[in-house]
Amino acid sequence: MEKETNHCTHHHGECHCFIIPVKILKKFSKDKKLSAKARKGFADAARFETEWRKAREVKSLVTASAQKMLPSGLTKVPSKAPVVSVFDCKQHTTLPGTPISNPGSSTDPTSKRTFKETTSLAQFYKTVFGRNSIDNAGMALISSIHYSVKYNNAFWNGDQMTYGDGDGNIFVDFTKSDDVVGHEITHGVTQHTLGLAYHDEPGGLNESISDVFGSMFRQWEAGQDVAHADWLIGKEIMGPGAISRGYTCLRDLSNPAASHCLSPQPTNFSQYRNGMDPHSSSGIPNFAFYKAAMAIGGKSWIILGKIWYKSVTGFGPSPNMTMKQFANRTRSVAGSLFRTRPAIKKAVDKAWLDVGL
Amino acid sequence: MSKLKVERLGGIGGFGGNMSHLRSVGEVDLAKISDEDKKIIEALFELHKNSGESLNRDNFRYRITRKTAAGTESIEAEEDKVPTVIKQCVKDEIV
Ligand SMILES: [Zn+2]
Repeated sequence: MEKETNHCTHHHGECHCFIIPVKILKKFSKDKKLSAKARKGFADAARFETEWRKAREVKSLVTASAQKMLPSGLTKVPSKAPVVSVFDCKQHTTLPGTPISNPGSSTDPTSKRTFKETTSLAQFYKTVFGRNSIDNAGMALISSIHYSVKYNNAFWNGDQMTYGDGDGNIFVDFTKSDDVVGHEITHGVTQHTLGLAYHDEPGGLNESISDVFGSMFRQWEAGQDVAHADWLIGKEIMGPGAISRGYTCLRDLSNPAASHCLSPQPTNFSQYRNGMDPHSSSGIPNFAFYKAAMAIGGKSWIILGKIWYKSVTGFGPSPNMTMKQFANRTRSVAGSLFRTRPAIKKAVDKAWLDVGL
Repeated sequence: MSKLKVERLGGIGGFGGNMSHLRSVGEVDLAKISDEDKKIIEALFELHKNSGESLNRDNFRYRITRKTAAGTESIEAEEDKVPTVIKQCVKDEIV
């Protein structure tokens, strides 16, 4: 695989950030058609990449050796809640941005909300699933807010969460929906467990796991059972331009193809095609989760959440997992976790059959 | 040859998905951009076939289409790999 690097050049007061392979950086650094300043920038970036890669390798070695040092029989180090930090990008695109010293008591409502929801999400994973942060080893939860200008997105970059303010028309501040915060952080959990790829079937599963845990987090925060939950993703980030056209959410787990969704989705595996955007194909496993949750009843995170959580985190990485393989895993986990309650496995089985899996 | 067509795809909202109402398209006039940006775009076309999958999730991707003597050629690149001139040429819309 090509080595990649972050390279920033600053001119005209803007930050141009991109990732390009080291050999191209080196080629650019010798290209006489470019200015001396630009050539030096590319040369610096190539050197930076080498050092950065070394630092990353050391970091993962430390984690591995720390695990080996645990006394035998001790599987978990007694842990405090993970550090939650919030950075302000101030409309630029350099990550992480400027640290906010007391994000939970900031006068910036976005900072306050990001701190509160991220802390709450760490509690959700801890109290419901016994998980200590994204990596189950207390990893710091880092969020950057006010990313770029009128930015209609939130994302996970492999290390941290990033939120845009929205353009004020289609979308508003992406931290406003707790399920969006849950969605992004869950991408980190998936990365550290199943390690799903981001294309075709594993990509759709990856997206669905983020929607499912984001939606469960929303229900857990509201103390709602499955009948009272709205099952929406992104309700509070809809801007006036979207609302006036009748859109109430990005996606709806209870009705993925609904016309009130900005991005309606397929509901049956017969509609699946390779190459689909994962945010589209995720509708299929999303709908299966919803159907099983409704059949089981009560609060989604208590029974079905534990089945999904064990299926995601209990078996090591499986980057190329198909939807059918995941469905079968949840069937078998439902049987083993709830041996004395066969109706639960039946509900899971029927939900998947209903979506063609 | 002088213009690139650009479409922003993905993001948590799933821009450009086949059932999605979110679209974001634009154009870049190659005659009006810097040599550095041209080089980077050239490199993206050269390299897209062997670029590995990153850990970015919900990041925007950009489909960039150009016309050459051999016909039309399209690539998709992640947001952190494309120059600002590409990112800024698109307009997000509900369709
Ligand atoms: Zn996502």
